[in-house]
Amino acid sequence: MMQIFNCKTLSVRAAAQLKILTPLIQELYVSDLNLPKDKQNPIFHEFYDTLVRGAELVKKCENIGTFNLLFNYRYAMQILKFEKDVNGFLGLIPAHIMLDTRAVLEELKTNYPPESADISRGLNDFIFKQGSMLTNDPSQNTMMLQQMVLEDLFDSNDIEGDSASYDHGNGYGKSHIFVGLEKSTGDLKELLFNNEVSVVGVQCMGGGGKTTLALALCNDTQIKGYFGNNICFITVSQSPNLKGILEIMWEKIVGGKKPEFQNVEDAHIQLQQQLSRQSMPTLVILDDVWTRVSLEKLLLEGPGYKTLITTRDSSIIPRNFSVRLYQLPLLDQEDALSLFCFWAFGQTSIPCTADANLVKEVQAECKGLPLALKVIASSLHGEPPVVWEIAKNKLSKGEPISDYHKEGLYKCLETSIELLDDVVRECFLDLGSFPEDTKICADALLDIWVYVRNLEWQDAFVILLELASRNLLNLTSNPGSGAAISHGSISELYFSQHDVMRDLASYLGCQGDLVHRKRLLMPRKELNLPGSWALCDPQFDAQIASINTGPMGENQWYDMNLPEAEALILLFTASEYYLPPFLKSMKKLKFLMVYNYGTKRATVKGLETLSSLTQLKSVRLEKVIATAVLKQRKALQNLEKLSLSLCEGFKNSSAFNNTKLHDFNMDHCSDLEELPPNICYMPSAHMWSITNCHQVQKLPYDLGNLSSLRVLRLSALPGLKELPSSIGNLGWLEYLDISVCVGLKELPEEIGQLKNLSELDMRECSRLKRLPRSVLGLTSLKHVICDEKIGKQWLKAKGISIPELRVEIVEVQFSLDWLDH
Amino acid sequence: MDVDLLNPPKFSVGQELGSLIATCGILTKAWEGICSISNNKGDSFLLVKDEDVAYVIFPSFHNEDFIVTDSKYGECNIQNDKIFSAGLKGDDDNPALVHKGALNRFRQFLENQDFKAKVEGLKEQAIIFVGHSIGGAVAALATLWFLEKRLRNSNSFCITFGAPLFGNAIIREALGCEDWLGRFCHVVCKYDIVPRMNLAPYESTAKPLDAIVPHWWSKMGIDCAAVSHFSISEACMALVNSVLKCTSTIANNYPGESGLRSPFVPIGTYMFCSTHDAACFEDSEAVLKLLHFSMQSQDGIPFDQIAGICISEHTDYGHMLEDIDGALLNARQFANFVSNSSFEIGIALELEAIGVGAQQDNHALFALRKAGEEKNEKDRNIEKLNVELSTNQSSMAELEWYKMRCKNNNIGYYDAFKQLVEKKDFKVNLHRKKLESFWDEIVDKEKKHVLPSDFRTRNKWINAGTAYRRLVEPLDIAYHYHTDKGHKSYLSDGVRPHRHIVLEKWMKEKEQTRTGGNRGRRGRTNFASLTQDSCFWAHLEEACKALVNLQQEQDINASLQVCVEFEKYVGSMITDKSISLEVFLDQSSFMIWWQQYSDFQSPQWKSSSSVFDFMAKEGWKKKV
Repeated sequence: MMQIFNCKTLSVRAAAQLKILTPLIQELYVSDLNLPKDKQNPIFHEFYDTLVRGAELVKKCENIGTFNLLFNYRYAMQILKFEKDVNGFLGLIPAHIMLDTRAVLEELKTNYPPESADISRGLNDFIFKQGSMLTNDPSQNTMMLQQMVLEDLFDSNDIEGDSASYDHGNGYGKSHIFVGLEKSTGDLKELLFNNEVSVVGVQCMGGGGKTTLALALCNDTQIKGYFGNNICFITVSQSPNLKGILEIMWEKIVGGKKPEFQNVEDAHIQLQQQLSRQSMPTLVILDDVWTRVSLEKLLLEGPGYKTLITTRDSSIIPRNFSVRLYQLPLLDQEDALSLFCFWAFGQTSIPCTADANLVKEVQAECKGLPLALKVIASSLHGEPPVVWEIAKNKLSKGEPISDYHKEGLYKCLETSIELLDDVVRECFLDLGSFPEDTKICADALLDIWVYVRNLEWQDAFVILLELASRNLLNLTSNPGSGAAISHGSISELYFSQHDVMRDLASYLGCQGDLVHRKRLLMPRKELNLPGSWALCDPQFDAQIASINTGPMGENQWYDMNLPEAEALILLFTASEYYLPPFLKSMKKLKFLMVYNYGTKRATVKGLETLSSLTQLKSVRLEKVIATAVLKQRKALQNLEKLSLSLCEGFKNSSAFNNTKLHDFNMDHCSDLEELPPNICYMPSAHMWSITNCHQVQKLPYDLGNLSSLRVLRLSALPGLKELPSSIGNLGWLEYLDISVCVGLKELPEEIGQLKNLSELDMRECSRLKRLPRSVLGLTSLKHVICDEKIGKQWLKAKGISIPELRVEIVEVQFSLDWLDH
Repeated sequence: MDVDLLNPPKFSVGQELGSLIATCGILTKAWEGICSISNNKGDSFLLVKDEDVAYVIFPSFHNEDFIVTDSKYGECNIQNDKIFSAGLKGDDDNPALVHKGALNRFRQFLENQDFKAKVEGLKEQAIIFVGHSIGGAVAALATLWFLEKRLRNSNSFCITFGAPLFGNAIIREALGCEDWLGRFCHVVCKYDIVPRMNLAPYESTAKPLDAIVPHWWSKMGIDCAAVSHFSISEACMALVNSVLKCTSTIANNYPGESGLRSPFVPIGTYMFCSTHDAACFEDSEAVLKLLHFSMQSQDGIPFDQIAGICISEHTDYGHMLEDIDGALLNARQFANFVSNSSFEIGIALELEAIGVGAQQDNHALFALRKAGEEKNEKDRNIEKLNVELSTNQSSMAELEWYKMRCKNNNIGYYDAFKQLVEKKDFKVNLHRKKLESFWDEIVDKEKKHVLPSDFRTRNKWINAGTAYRRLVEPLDIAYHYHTDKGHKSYLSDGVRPHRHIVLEKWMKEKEQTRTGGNRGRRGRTNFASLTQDSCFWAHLEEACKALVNLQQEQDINASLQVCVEFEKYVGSMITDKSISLEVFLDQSSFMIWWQQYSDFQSPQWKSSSSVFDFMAKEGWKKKV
């Protein structure tokens, strides 16, 4: 299986093919060109082009680092695709030419891989396996993905891998690395322990490690010893809920019964009074404060009471005798190097195999700014020296990194973007369409890449992992969703972006003239459309548009034309939202996302404009009343993917069927009692997911009509009492998820007919006490996740007829992560 | 595919317990007291103090106590004399019944000031009420009366010799709930007729008793007034015959005759004694059967002789105790019963001890085995529930966090959850469902009597249930109004989930029995963190509906009535501070209701309403 991971093996094979075919086809092509136009056969042209592309591919393969697994994977997939294309062309070439090429064919046959389908399947399995190991800690995910690149490939023959080696903390060490903070923490401690000082402001530019420093301070033994339990860490951020913060402070500092505060002022006064009375060493850390106004509301004083503020803008910090300002220095040479090496090599010093001078030179260009070090180092992780050389040259041309040169940071970070190849780079730039620091379903991003960038879904997924492994975005997944991801269902995989990285993406992605830009994005959320978009010639060339506003009425939209738009992302907080009238002009639109992040479900109006969108392939709705949208038959006729999240309006829903849909997702739809009639008439659906719809009592009896289904997720449907017996007709089903169906009392006997089922997730089905006897027939089953009682029964079944079964017993997990979703 | 094998019970220790009690000396002391009081021929009781233990001894019997006039078996409602608390009431269809003769006798003692003062004045740590025959039933009632005082610093215990059954199943259940069954120990001679006597209707025993009671009197050394000419031995035969007929019906569980059964059941621990050994039994059903089986001879003694013994043993406890004492000093003879299970061996030993051979009599064996298995199952059930409770507490903790998070956003968790608009609300709903099925199961199991009898009074479960109800019922209400869109009131019949009704009942019953009175009397000093009445939000929703009606001028009188009632209700909760301050958060639906309601009300109302005053002054902000 070695050759799978090393695209070089494949590329050698492809090169051999090219060597034989290229001269021949070239000759045919040239001779074909000499014929009169109407006699020419376009197939030679296309074939020749394919071969030329193949040659480029082979060349690329020679240049990439041996150990970059994600790259290897991508190119391996491309070569396999290339081989398939060649094969296709050979089949198309007319018989008389075949005669000429007989010799070639003979030769090819000896060389040609008969198992190419197996290989690509193996590759897919492998890559999803990686995806399934993602956790809800982004740093750990990044390290895991990097580790995967560094795995000793020559040792592992088994692509199934041993998942145990990726267990948390195994081999990765701590996911927070504190480097070079001793001096800064020391300085800060000195300031904090000084009796005269009550407020310390820490200032530094974005990505300078302020938050990391503050966190390190919280964990410092001396600080802990002095302040004891009275340390309070609060993230303030750009638009804080001040009253909420003050209430938290009350609870943490004063404790006991909390009075009800009328407003922010009241809370401030009461807390201040309380603090003047009590005398206790207390440390409050206000992280990421942006404005003076919010800071004033949060500053308090009292005997022994200290505040530490981190901010990008030192001017917000008041000046008086008890305030000290601390300018967080950039990392010194030594510390910068160890942080850099940590992300580039997974260790804190330069490994002996690397060119120490080169490493030092590249690192020096990052000027000791932690974010830059992290991003640049991650982007060079596993790259050959040539790439390092290129990076060094690019970095040295940029402006120096400092407060006064904001551009400097971007220029520096830009280097890591330029190192990406074109496709991945474009993909990264698309990230500017999404808001920063918000968890968004990764499926949305992949849809854009698939439908707008025309990538294969698997390729898009690999790019996602690659960007994550380079710290360019953060990936998190819900606990327990690993199995679903390993089957390609990623509705519980989320991505988010550091605000600096998001700014970078939108800055790079929106260069050039507004009208001719390929991306029309809004840098920030605003109440209305940006004024600059109101042009007299309202024609825009944008391919991707993203609009982030408050409630919009019909008249608030400008007269705009976006005939080239293929993806539209509408983000808003509103309870009523009028769709932009210019939707009419988007004849090519393939991807539409309507995402409401307010606190109430929104009514969407202006739906008639949808009727002109006949090319729509993917629609995603979040937190809206969905009924009317689903009635837009015309817009939905060519739909391939539909995802409805947190939607409502399904009482008496009308018939819904769509023959082209292959991916259907509904989650958190609160009033969905019964699925719309005819919904099971989706002959091409291969992924079906209905999760967290708590009112669903039963599933359609004709569920078995979904004959091409591979993945079926019916998780967290507490009202569900039974599964329809027609489920046995889903002969191709590979993955079934019925976890947290707490009302489910038994499985239908027909479940035993699922001959292709390889994975079954049935954790937390507490009422389910017994398995039907027919499970003995599930001979392809490889993995079951369940609780202990059912687990015993599965083990018995394993002993009888399912020898390859792995039974994973999971306890009910408790965490508070869900509160932040 | 069932792998859940039943774990059999491990032990049965009735015989060991029996011999321990028999030899520890308390019984002997108690019997001596009885003998001395009988000699005194008094109507009064006797108080003996011995090493920090006080024995309160009741005289054996009076002729008239046996006489039944207005009921079939000599039962009467325990509430007749208001001696006992309302907790021992049962319900109208199934009242709590006790032995009438004993109740009358006990009332006479109570009316005698001397008794009450003396008993209540006792300083000893342990008080043992002792009685023989009807006196035993009186002692049992006295114990019950004393237990109901719930004095913290004294323990009471009851020992009876040959006492008739004194109460029905309601009494047994009530005592079981309080875990008091273990405080009653009834010593029963193998053949003694009296403990079985009121399983038979009075009419069939009245005549022979006329003759026999004076006979017993003389045996106990009491002068007898008149000896009936009805021959003693014939009377014995007649009495034993009619009693045996009834006990065999009960022991063999003949169907269709349950309506004719005596209401009396064994309550407490029964210690059956033979001439050489003794064994204790707790399970009421098993004791009922043993009362029948042990009376049948295994030694081939002819019936007329047995009848004689049945009568004579009633007054022969002194000798019997001596015999057992002696026999236990001798070498033990083990039952030759072959089994690997110590449980089975234990049962065999018990049967051997009470003179009922295990081999011959399978019915007794079955009864004991069944009792043991039932008890074992109850223990296992509770053990399982204990584990489940602890995992469910984690769900509760997550909900508490949710509540706090909502509060920080200035919206009560009730109102936040009712929207069901964030992913976390769905997670909360899953927790709600999980807890729902857990508590439904508990309530169901308790009803089916597969949990220990004192389950519903155990502090742990009462508190857990109350905490659950107060935290989660608001979510149930919210979900009801979210899905139902308010067509049906949560408070109307059949809507409120049964588990909440039951849990609230348990809590209220427990509150009444808590020593030192309930919290309400002392009063809260701070507002509750969870509104004490878990139905508060349902009342609010109804008041909101009424207010809408008012605004639309429909049903004005009734609607106004609802609103005013609700205001009063809130007012009372503010006064006793049983309302949570979260109700007054800015975005709370109560605040919205209040705003509209006070706009609607007249100016005069504003000056008279205490709630208005509280709201206007924003009384919830006052730091207490």
